[in-house]
Amino acid sequence: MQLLKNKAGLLAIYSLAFALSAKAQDAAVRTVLVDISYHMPVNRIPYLKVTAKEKTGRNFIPLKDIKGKVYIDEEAESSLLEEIQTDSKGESRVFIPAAFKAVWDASDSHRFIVVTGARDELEATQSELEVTKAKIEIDTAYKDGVRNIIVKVFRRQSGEWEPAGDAEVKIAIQSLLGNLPVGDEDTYTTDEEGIVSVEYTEKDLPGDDHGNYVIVARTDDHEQFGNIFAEKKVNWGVVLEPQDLLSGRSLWATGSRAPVWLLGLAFSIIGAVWGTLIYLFIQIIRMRKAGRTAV
Amino acid sequence: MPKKFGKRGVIWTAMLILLCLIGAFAYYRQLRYGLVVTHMGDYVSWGIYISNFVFFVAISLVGSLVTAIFRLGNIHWSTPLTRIAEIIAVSAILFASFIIIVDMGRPERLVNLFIHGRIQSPIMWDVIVISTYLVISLLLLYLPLLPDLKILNEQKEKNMGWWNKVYLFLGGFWKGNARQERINQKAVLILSILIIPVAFCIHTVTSWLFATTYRPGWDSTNFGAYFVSGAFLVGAGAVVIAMYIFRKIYHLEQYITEVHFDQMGRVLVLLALLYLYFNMNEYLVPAFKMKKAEEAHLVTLFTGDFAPMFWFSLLAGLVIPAIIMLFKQGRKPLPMFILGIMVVVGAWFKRYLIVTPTLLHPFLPMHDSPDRFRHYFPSWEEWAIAIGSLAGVLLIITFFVRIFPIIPIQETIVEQNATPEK
Repeated sequence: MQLLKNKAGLLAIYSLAFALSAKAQDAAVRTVLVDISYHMPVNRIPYLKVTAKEKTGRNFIPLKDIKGKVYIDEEAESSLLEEIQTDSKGESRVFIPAAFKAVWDASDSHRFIVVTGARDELEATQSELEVTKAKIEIDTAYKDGVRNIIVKVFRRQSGEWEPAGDAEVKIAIQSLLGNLPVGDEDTYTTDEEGIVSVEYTEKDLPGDDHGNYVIVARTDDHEQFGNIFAEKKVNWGVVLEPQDLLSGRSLWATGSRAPVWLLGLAFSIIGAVWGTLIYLFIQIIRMRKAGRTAV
Repeated sequence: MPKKFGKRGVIWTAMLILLCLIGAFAYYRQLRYGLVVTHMGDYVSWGIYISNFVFFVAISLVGSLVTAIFRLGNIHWSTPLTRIAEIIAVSAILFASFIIIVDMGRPERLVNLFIHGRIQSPIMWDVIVISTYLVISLLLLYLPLLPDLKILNEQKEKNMGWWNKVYLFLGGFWKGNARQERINQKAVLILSILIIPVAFCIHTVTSWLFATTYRPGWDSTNFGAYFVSGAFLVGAGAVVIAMYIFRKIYHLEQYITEVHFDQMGRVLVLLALLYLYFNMNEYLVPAFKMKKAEEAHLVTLFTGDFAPMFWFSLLAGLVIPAIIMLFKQGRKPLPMFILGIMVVVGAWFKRYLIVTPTLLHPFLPMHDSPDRFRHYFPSWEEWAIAIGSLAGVLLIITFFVRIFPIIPIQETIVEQNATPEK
């Protein structure tokens, strides 16, 4: 009997503990995943892209309206780049302000710190990204009658540009709806001298009206360099002769350039119908005359 | 015979004139301040005006049905109804032309259509075919009127004041001699043949204004036939309403008999079933496939914001009238009058449903647009102009029956003598 009482007591304690635990889990703080990526586009100001999301089941859900602060090198008011708030995609972009040029130039690498505040049940976070300055150069050469695209990657070290070996780069031809990869590989790895050389055999790719198109090279979320881009215009394309769709007769041309078959068809019908109507008006005149000369 | 307005007639006419004046004031405001007074925007650029335009074009088709198709089909019972059908056709097509000009916002630019018009554009085809149809309808109204004008000219003392001059101008030359009769009959026969393809063209071209535009709900190869069948239905419904009212007010029981309502009921059932068939094609086939772009549009119609209007127009304006008219009791004058109203009201909402929901569901997502562009409900100016134009149609019909005989007297007498009732 005593045993039964003890078991009942234990059961009650377990139930209470389970209920409290479940309650506690319901009100658990949700973890915010903040990601920072560095982007260095061609001839444009470098920027950081901050992404806030949370994991729900197997999916990552973007978090809107997450507020935070982005610092450079240290978490101090003097190093504050910008205060951010994520959009509906959970993203926010921070361009390196011109006021930080001296800070930017002073070092070969920088640390970016993103601090987000707690909101409702979402926890506060702090994320960091260390970036080493790097650049890409594109050159072209003929070797044995074959065009070659030569991509060189450099990293900043002790104030100098040094070749960056073992860096993965993507090489492509820029096009309107997405880039066309060059060669068979998706990515190429630089050698010790920071160089990738790819044979380019395409000869009938259309260019612009002068036969130009643009070669692009970039690193894709490189752990040290982030996303850096380079481009070079080359005159390797087939000259594009735009079709003049408006000067001929067509359904989409101006009224004076309507297709002959349409003009013929339309005016035949209009002529037939209005010809008949004119005939009927003449009949009305005949009826008027017939009224005057009653038969 | 036309007669002076009674007390009810005066009130009715005054009410219509008032509605027209309110519409005119609203149009003045639109001209003064621009189309900004409407609730149309970047997406719904064709609102209640174009719905009204399609409705008027549809209703005008009845002229060709009753006057031409029945005439050529040797269907004599419809003879007393021909003038009703023709005046509905003429007044509706007049206001269809007017409402298009209203929708343009800048009426003085209408001239550009003729200076810089493109024969490749369905809008140009519509302008040509509407003006042609108006002329044919006017002739079909005028030529059969000539023998009746002779009757009016012969009883000047019974006519009203200076209208005798109008009758004399229009039909003073008509002596009813054999040559005139022969020419007139031939002319009416030619017009009856001519109006049928033109009538099919007018509504097919109107449907192509939509169908040649790649949008959910409009991208259909059936649209021409769908519009034409719907137009015959609404036109026939309008004739039934007019038949009942004129019969009641002018005591035309001798001319517009229960047989006419019975026959028109049968015609309406046939047309309703035909239109139902095209509706099933238009909605069920895309709904079966449920392509992503069509889905939002169809869901809005079936279960969304437009669902009450959609099901009302389909059930109250089509299915229920067709079922009731299957029974003989349903084809009696009063039930036919009520069912005619249901058909016409349902048809008006149907045109609104053809125009507006599609414009609210473009293929490309709505980006960076004010919230008001995502919804559409006409402004008071739009309502006033639309109602004013409807009143204008009724006003023309009202004045016409005040001035001219609404039943083709001579023709009906000839018909009755030729085919005595058994």
